[in-house]
Amino acid sequence: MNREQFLAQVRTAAAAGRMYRVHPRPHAHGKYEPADEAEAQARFHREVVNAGGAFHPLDDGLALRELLASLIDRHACRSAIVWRHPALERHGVYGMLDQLGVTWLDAERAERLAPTERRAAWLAADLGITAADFAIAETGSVVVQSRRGQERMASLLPKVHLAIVEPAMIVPDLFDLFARLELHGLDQLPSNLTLITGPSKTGDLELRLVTGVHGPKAWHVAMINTP
Amino acid sequence: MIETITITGVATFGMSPETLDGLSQFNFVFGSNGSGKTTISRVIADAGSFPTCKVTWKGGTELHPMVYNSEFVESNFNRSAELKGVFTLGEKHVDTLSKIAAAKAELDTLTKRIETLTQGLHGDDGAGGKKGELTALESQLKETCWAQKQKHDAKLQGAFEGYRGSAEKFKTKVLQEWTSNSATFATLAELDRHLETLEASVQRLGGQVHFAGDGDDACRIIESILRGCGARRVVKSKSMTTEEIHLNRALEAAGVEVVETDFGEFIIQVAKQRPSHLVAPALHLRTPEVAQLLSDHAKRPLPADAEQLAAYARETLREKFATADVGITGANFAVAETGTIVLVSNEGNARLTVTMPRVQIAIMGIEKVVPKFADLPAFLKVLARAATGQTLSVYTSLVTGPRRDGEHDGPEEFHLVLLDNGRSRILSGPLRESLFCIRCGACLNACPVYRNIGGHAYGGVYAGPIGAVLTPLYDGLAENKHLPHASSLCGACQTACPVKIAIPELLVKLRGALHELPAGDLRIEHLAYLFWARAMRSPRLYRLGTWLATRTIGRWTKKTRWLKRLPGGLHGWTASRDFPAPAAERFRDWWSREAEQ
Repeated sequence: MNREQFLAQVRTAAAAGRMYRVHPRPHAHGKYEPADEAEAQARFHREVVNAGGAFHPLDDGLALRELLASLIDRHACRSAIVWRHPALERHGVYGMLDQLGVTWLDAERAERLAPTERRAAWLAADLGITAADFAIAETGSVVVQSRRGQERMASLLPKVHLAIVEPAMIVPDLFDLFARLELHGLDQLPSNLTLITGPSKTGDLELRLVTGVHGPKAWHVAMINTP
Repeated sequence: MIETITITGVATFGMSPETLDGLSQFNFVFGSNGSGKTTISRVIADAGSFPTCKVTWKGGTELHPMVYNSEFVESNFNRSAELKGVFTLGEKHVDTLSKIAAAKAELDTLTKRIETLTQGLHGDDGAGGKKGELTALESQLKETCWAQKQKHDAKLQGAFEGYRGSAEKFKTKVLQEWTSNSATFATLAELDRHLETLEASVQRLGGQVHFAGDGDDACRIIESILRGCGARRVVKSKSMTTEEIHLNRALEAAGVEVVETDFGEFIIQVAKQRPSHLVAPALHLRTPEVAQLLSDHAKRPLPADAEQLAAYARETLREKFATADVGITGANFAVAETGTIVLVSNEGNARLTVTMPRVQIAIMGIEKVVPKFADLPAFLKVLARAATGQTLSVYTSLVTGPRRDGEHDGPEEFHLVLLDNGRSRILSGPLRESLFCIRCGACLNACPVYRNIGGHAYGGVYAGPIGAVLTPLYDGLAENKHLPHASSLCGACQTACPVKIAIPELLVKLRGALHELPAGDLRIEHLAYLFWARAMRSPRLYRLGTWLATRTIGRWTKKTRWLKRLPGGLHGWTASRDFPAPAAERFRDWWSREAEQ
């Protein structure tokens, strides 16, 4: 069956069935409208924890360094995939990793490696560090968009994912995220945009919750309150 | 040119032929009133009607004569009686005149109707009628909403924050919730147009779109893509659509290694079984069984511990992801205007499938398309909440075309396969509503029948209540005639359904359609019912039957109470569920014994 026949068949069917047109009524899910930013932040905090993540409110760069040190220690991390992102630069993440003795790989460093070497290094990384393009208070989600220097792998391959979020990135509701994206222009959509809400989970074995079956086993969200 | 005209015995002409000959290009015929000028013109206009007359054309080439006389005027100049000052020309327009008359009558009726409706809308005094009714109903709705709000105020606090102070505000909010959630769903009526838009969007992004009329078409298309890129190993994330078209079988026959990467699907694939649940495909297996299966696969003993079994799957599948040439996914939704494919998963295998291999193929049923990007959030909220009760699934990926320049991961090539496979047939008929299914599995979890017999008893790709509708539709009614009957029509599925598909109603329609089928192999069933009816009519036969059943099967199964396997042709029934055994003692025996004591 070729394209024209295919579409003609659908066209005829859509017209023929018009008399049976139905309007299913989905369960209503309202839009979350917080009173102020503080309330939205509190909700985000709560939802990240509900989703099985660890939430770390941080006041400054020093606190971030402490968090990194403790994560690296707790999860025995030796190498990291790191995004190239202004927020990570602002908070001095790259320098901290050097000080803490972690081998880290961003797009630039990866490009200097031979393809097989590069792939092996990516697969071997224990820690993935990303910023967030948005965060959703209502669901506790972190939104990551793919770009050069913002690899999909960073939030996916390692056993531990740390997302660094600033208060300005928070939008109240899922509807607000889509409105913001539309405002940016739909032709600006990245090739991959992922909403992350928790560590990788499965309940496939007798409905028992197991994390880390494919993606990160541990999901950390660091909220840095002052730049 | 006319050479001669011979006229005999018409009007004032006598019986001896009169001939006008020597005619040239222009001829003037003149004579007094009644001398026969009009008769001549009539003969020229329609020689055929005057058998005694003859018109000879030069060289025998007859031309079409045109005559302007009183008859012509009568039949061609029409003064309209209804519309003054209008007259039309030409014979054809006589017809138009009668149409004008009809239109005028219609206009009058419509004008009258408008008057009646306007009166109905505003009432005689301009304040009653339907408008007044609406105002009354609105205030009634407001009161009802407010009464509900008062009753459940404690529970509504969070959801209606800021709207709880006034009855009017609260009612408006309730209405707004209702409309914002139902506005986006009317996509089926223009499905063909949305598909064309989707195609154009995907192509604009550098992807390719393929159209598959049925499952075989789809398998052939995918095979040819795989051949084109020399693929040996394919990783798949869970997709019921690929199950529906039996893709794995086709690809394995073509010599390609297909790896299911969803943890449950991976177990099912190792066990060589079929998924039993839309969302949790290996729900019917116990941990020790899985440990045994995976130990055989690993060729080393694995403990019956969910964590460690999952770790084994992670390690095994990572290696497959890293070496696969192609990733195949389904699609939860596709956005026509942007060409975006939405993939939802909790494990992250769908993300790996579209991150590591060089080529991505997504296959989706045509009903999964939504027109606008802004339509997505409502669907995403509904899907996650209905499927697993999460606010959002762990990973919701919006894939918009292949990777862009400079990116280090993601597919370099992107293919979208659009599958019809009977969907357009459903679209054209009374069961079209079933196309709204978003495959959340909520109806399975709610269904008392499914909860008791499990997924495999349905025998099709889609299990549970919605499966009882979809499987006969996609796979053939005759082959799945038991499914529409596998329901008590209790309606729990419809209540649970987030898009409110009237599943019981669809099942009843399917049962109706079954009666249209030729009886065929229903004969055995018919015979069984005849036998049953006979026994039910005769107390003696019934007593004998129950006595026999309790004495034999009833006593043999006293401990287990269930028949694991029925004999002969009936064993198919017990292949995936047990049959309740008859009691060891008849009720009438128990009753008479109890009554004696």
